[in-house]
Amino acid sequence: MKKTISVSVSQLFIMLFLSRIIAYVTFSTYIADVSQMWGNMASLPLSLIITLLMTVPVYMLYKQDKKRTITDNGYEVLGRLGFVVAVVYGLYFLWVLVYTLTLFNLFVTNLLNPTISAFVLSLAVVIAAVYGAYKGIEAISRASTIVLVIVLVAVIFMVCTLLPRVDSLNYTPVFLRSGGDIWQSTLFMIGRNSAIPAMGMLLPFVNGRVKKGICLWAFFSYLCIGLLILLIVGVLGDYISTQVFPMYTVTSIAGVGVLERLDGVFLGVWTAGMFIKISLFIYLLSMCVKRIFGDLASRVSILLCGALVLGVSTLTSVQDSWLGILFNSNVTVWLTLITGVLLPLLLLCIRLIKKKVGARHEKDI
Amino acid sequence: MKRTFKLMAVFICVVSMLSFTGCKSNKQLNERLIIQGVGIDYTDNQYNVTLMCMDTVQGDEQAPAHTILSATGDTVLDGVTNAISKKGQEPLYSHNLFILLGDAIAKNDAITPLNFFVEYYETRPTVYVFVGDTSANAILTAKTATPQGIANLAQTQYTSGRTITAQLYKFIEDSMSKTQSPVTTQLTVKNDEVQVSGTVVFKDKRLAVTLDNEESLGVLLATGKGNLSTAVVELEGQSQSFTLSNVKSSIEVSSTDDQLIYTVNVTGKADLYEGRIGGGAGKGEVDNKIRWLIQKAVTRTVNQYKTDVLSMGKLLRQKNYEFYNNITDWDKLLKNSRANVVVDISVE
Repeated sequence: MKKTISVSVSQLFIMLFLSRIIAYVTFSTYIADVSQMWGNMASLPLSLIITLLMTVPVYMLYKQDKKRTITDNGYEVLGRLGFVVAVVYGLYFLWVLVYTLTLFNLFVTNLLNPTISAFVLSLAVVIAAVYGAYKGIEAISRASTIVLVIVLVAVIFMVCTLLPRVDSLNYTPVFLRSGGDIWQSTLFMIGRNSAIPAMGMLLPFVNGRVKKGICLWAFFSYLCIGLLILLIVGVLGDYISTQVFPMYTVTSIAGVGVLERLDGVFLGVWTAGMFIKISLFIYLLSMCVKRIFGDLASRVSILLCGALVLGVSTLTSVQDSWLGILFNSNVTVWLTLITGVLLPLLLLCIRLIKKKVGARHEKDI
Repeated sequence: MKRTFKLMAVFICVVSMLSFTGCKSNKQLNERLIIQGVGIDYTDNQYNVTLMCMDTVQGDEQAPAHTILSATGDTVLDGVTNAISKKGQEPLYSHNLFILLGDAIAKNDAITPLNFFVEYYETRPTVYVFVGDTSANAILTAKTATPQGIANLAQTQYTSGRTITAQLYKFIEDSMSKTQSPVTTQLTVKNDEVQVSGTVVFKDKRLAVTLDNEESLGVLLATGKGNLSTAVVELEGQSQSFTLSNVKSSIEVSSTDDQLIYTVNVTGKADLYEGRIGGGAGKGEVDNKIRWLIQKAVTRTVNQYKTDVLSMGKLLRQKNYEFYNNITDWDKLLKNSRANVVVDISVE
């Protein structure tokens, strides 16, 4: 008898919350103009609304058949061409993995210790993540609950120690920015919603009230991002524009009594959150591989996916042109929109058309 | 199969850990050059860098010792590299406590030499920035100068209110503003001892004015940072001291085309000491004294030297962004500005 995989709603959305926060914590000059960080505040409410709207197609697909992942829906709707959906999602998850791991490499080699071997560090992270993915979604979700506690403790500590250093004069009027700038910031925020395509693969394994989970995930993700922006801008002010990773700089300022220079702690917390994200997305990538090649590939797919991520990430780190494409905000936004919104919408529409055609055919008969 | 996979994973982890820098290229702390203070001077188009480094051979926990290394270079990093090459040890910047700029470099360009500390991966944004009234080398080579002793001078702001000290990130942040003037502590050497001699205010990267103790206190009070500071009320025949606590201030700024009008409201609590029986200072004298201190400070810094030490530019940026964005002659606004100081101190 095949074992059914099941996670609770809270476990799923804790994993996705951590993935979202890690994406923002790595805000750096590699991916955006850091001096515009404060401007992201204006786009938070709009980003939250758009994010919730973006989840609708994935949620509707899930409601139509709660046992099918998005790749299953692809095969059901498109027949033999359904493998295209699995390939697209697989490539997207590979993109997210390479993006996350490359950013981590750049951070470690540029800010921590230039003599460190980025390849060996990535290898260690990928090995741990592969093991996590191999243990399955239930193990990853249990680990994410522990990591969430660590992250929350770190965030609370940071807030408490940095509040006295906040200069309220660093906050400039947010809504005086032009509509174009607010829209650009919004696109930047929603481009990082890799959790939505991930939902398409994971919702069938969830027990509980999914709609409530989605709303809470979106709300708390953006609340946390807003809090981090307030802290970083309040403490650093214009100094942000001189820093590659402002979040890292602000943690090196945080401290109380003998507890100071906490950038090392930040690194540990970030690595833990990154482990969850990389494990999760390797697992999702292997699900796509398994869907195309069947159960025979299930054993080795995770290992192969890990090796693939490591190889592509290492190559990307040393090619400036590849880095330019990888960290291009427009590319990220479009990939997220295609996998998170357009493909699910397309599948819904085709299913609806097929249903109507089928009903008319039956009526004619 | 599962067990084999686990064992393989553990084996790969162990092997890869052996190649990490910590295991492969480890260095003991006494093999590193632990930099605790950096002094920068500029003469004849060359940076003269003076490093105070921990002496792990001579010193111990009870009696820490330090060595001085000096060298010149075309840039700050060049000077530092030339200095550390005398020892051959790998430098460790993360324990640096302060950066001391010599008077010559402060009067010429105080920001460019700090760029190295902003950008280098190992340096920290919380190091103190000091300015000397003479060369940095002369101060750091004073007979009784120690890195920790000099770094402790930054606490003078909180213990006596006689100076204002900036950390690197705050100093650079203020210098990047089009209106704000960075301020920090000035050091001097008296009787072979390094001491605080006042506060320096910068404008357009250069030292603009040096404030004495009273002016420094006036600025601290106006910006609400005068807790635990002490001042003296001059009375007929005898002076009386008071300390301040719970100091809060707010500044309201309004503007016309060519003038800033600002009101500084200060509240707090004062404890009077060394009083005379049956007489002495009261609330009126204390209020007057604080008003005088603030007025003296703002007249000199804002009106005379056109430096914004009260963050009025940032206040305008928050409250009247359109006006702030259209400012063309900030100096003129400061020069013609008018201050109204309102003080309400409760006396114990």
